[in-house]
Amino acid sequence: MRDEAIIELYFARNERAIDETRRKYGGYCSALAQRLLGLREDAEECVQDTYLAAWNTIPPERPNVLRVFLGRITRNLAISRWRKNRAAKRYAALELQLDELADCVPSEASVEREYERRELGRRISAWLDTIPQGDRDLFIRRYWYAESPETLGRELGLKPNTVSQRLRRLRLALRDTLEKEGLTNEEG
Amino acid sequence: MRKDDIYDGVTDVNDGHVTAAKNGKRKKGLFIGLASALILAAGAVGIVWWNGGFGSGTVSGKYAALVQQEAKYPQRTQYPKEGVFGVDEDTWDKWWEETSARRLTQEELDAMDKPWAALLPALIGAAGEEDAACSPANVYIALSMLAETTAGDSQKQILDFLGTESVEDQRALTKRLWNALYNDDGTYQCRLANSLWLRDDTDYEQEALRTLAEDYYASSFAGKMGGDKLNDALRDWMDRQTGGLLTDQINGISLEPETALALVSTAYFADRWEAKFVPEYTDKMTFHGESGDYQRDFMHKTYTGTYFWSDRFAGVTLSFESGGHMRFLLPDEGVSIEEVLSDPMAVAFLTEGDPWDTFEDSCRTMMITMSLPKFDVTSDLKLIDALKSLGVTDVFDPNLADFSPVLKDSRLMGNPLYVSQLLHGARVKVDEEGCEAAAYTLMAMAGAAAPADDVEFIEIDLDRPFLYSLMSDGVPLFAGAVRE
Repeated sequence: MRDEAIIELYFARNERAIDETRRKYGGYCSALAQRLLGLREDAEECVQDTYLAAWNTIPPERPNVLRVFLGRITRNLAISRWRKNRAAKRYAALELQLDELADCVPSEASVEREYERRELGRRISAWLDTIPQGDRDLFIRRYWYAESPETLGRELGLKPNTVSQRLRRLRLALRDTLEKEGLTNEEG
Repeated sequence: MRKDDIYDGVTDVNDGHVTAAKNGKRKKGLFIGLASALILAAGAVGIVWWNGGFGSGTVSGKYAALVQQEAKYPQRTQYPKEGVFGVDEDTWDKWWEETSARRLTQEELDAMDKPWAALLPALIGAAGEEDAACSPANVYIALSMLAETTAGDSQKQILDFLGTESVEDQRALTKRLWNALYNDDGTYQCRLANSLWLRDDTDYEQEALRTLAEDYYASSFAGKMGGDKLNDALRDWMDRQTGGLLTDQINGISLEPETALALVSTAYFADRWEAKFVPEYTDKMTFHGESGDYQRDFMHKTYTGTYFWSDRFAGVTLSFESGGHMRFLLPDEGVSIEEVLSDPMAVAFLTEGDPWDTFEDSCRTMMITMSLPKFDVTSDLKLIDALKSLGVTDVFDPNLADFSPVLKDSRLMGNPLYVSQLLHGARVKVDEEGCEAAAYTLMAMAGAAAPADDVEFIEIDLDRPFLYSLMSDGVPLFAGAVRE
């Protein structure tokens, strides 16, 4: 079924919307949740919650690309779970990803201003615009789709170690950018 | 800020980035061989002519070789190609180090805000009521070179306009600007070039020529001024530097025999949209021009981006594949292009490296449905009056102009020197033909969606006169107006 038709089902408050979403994007959402959370049961719960959240938000929202819309909900639900259980260190894969992303956090001394979530997304997008497509795709595949360096290496014909090194450079480049902007914005 | 904040930020990146990442591989394959088909290309030429008034005809002299000096361009590390063994790590490191080092700092960008804000309306205004294309950055560089060749009040007026205290400061800033914009690292093309056209029967101050060669990357050519050979060489050089985009305009250019010296500055840019317009969606729509309605080809797409507004206009941006973006400003109905051009908010939107701070509460991320006419705008502008209105006057006055840093004699054939012509030609082409046909197959994900917590939708139809600017490295490289 085409995305437009599925979205129409949501708007018509027809519960088939969820079945169709599951049929078309169930695998994709499960894979994403599984990659983020690592534990099958938790991942499945997260996916069920994704459908429910989609049901509760469409309408009023009308996703343009349903796949990304659902993926974003899954990501949000995964991080919520991590926040609730962070002390338990339950989600090894997500822990690993977050530890990597810690490289991007500007040092407190250099950034005198907190970014709002929305603005941070915009800043990261703007930074992604300044790097070549290959690097951009690699970054997104690792940190949005949560694909492992091993998988990425296999698909791109690179050694996992090479992928990791390249990702590290990208993280540091992002940190540099956020630090520079954090400083200048504070004045403005 | 914490690590999970970064995670949230990544969750919210543009949908175009998310969809493109999973299609990158296919995309690469399909685009091979289509590299020469450009969605957008633009070129501009700024020329400054010194004439020795109406001289008494030809000047004799034999010309050994036209090329006096070839500019030595900075060597750029090429962006590493991905091979079977991955990218070369050392090359990547070097590339990134160079790329970030040549990016302009906020301080440098701020220093140029004022000249951009004055240049953009003046250049678009110089086109009168016609469609306009211009390159503020190109004129800026040409003016900076002009400052190098002048002294006294002639120079001071230019520096005052450019906003720097001394010619040394200006030189350093322009060199940084040139290096930030110039790009041939294999990702996208932004070619800048400067040149000097000299007489072989005149003495020039060598130090000034050396500065122009070293700090402005200007090549110099000398020959029989006004002769076919030198003029042919000039046109050939300009045509090559602007990628053949301005051939028609360039063919009409020649230097008169009484020219003492000519400075030429060019800019050429080409890149593809990050998310292409789907050609099948392009259709005929009415453009409500200033002098009537016209049927035009309109491209359409829906994407997530920042939407700006004020009580007089709306603005959106569109990203290129390799960095940089275009901004489109649509005046509200009943508001003219001239009115918006005198609105500091509008000028900030079109010229500032980071307009988000200026707009604060009047911009937000939204899902934008955009209708944009394909356009190909060419302008031939004469800029003397425009510059006079900006306070640069003495260089145009034979009795006041001071070119002592570059010309040993203050007169040519008994006539005082002054800038007799200042031409600026530019062309900006926004098109989705050619590689767009291939893009549709591979960009089924073209456009985007962004369900942020409170998604809002906005439609923007650029179906009446609008303004645009092309931002590269935070600088308005090209700009203009589409009125008809």
